[in-house]
Amino acid sequence: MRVLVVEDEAGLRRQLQALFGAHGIEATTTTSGREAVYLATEYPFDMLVVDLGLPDLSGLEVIRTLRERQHDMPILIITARGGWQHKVDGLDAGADDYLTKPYQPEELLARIRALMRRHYQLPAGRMVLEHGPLVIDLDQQAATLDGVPLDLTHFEFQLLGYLARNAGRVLGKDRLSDYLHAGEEDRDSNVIEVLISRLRRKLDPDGRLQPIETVRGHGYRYRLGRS
Amino acid sequence: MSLHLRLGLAASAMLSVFAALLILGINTALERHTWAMLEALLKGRMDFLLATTSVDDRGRVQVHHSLLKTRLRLPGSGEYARIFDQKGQLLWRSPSVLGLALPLPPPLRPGQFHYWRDPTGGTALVALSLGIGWNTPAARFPLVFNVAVDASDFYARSRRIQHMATFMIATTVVVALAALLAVLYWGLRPLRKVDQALQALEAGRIKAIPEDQPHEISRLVGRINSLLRQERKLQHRYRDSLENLAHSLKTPLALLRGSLPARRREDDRKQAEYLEHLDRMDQIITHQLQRAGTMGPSTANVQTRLAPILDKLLAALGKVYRDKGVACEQRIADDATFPMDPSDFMELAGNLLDNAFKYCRRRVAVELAGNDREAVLIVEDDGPGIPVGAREAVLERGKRLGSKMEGSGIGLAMVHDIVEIYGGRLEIQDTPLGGTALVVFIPRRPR
Repeated sequence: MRVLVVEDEAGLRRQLQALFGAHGIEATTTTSGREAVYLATEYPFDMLVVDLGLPDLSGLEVIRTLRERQHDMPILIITARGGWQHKVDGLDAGADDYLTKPYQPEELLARIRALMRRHYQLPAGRMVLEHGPLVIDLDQQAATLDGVPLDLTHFEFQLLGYLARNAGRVLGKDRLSDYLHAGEEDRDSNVIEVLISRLRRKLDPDGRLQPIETVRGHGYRYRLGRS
Repeated sequence: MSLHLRLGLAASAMLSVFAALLILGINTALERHTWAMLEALLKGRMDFLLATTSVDDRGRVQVHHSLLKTRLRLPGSGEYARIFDQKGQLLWRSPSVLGLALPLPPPLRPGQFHYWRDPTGGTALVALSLGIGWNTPAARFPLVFNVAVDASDFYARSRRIQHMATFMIATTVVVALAALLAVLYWGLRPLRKVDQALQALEAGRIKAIPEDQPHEISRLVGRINSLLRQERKLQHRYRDSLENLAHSLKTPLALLRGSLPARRREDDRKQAEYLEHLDRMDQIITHQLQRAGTMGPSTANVQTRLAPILDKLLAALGKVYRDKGVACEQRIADDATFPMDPSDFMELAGNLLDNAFKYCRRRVAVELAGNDREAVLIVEDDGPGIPVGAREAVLERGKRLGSKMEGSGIGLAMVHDIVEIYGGRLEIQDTPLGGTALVVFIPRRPR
């Protein structure tokens, strides 16, 4: 899971990155509202965690701009401003939930999981995708095939998770590369092909499942989990 | 007493006094005029009598009948003439006096005259008596000539004129009064409009009084609007400062909290102690800033329309608790108002509804009740409820600064603060939905 964190306080930003990292969540951070809009527009993120009081563009404007541009990712506001007017304004602008500082780390993680479950229509209380014999546990960063744990690298799991959460949609190589390497300039264009090829081998050794389909000229489509 | 009534009464009183004085003046003038006419008539009759009278050397009076006016010849005709000697002895009378007992003239020296009218008002008779020293070649005879006429016709004519004048004046006064009241109504219309605008302002329907007013009150309206703008600006600045303060205090708290390991071991007493202190600091800051930010009852007696605020809150809560699929019944009329500052009501209702959404199973209801003395806001849910025996304790905990409100939501302390600042009270009651009904009573101030 990849989260864009917009927080202008350096200490909190580092803490959030460390907290997310410890729970298998890739976090890209920024201090600027304008940069947040740019990053969220250019790169795919599963979620936006945004502080309202930012130096350039306010958190509310970031949310409004992204919603106007048809970004449907879940948005969680974290702010020191706890009044109901701010909550109502934030949710009205397009956020999905609201957390007041100082928050408990467990509470923050629970809210993020709940928003993810809601967005990707995951079963209540679990961050798990069950697609036939393939079970992907987004929380534990682990997958099983017919109950047997799969040996996946970090990138392989990230890619599988992203494809599975967007089952049925055609995702281009650039988009997949943006997801795995958000904000990084130096990339190898063959990495995605190599990762897809490895995933196919590991998920479907005997060729009966065919979980990832190649859509010529467009990209890849995850076929399980969508009728 | 209203300005309109005050000016109306004063105008009515002035016009009535003016009309009464006018009628009195006209009546007096008319009466004088009538009497002057009667005097002239009597003088003419006297001259005529003197002209037709002759006295011989022995003092015998003779009036030439053939020269007498017809009315003096007819008994009871209304015109009479008599001649007396100095002792009051009747020497001659006109035939018209026949059978009548006319009053005697007073004794008069030659050259003296006397006008008379019935002082009792019993008859309409008026008379003129004149003392005459009648000289003959032989002697001088002192005589008293008396003429009298019945003035009923004069009096009747005068009364008719009086009645007509009174009627005309009364009609003029009524028409003038109606016109004056219409002018007052029209003239005071801008003030009534300002009053209506103030009511709309208090009800939260408008933000300022329209300034297109007559120049006499436009300055006053401008000043009121400027005061209102200044008050709002001050309020916003005050709130902004409080929010900045909250931000400055809570960010380091969040840093401190985040710097502690995420999972604390049960046996790590020091860490538990730190966390407790941090929580307590957070609660104190939240509580005190909330309390300081509560506007409280204002001099403007603000009435807040509930529907727009509740719609926003319910939309926001519907989003946060979307997974729960809460059905919220809003039993509040679109134009219903609550005697509370809008931002205070937002905090009050936000906390109450958040509580209800958090603890309900599927249903929440919000309702407005009350009377002229107090407004009652009821927020109900179908959750597990609070047992009767525990309600007092829950409310008591809400009163204490920064208490943890397990099972009833931490917002209850804030609700309690706002209710207290407005001089109201908070109760926990049963509800037909089966859970908890939090009932807020806020006194309405008399207008």
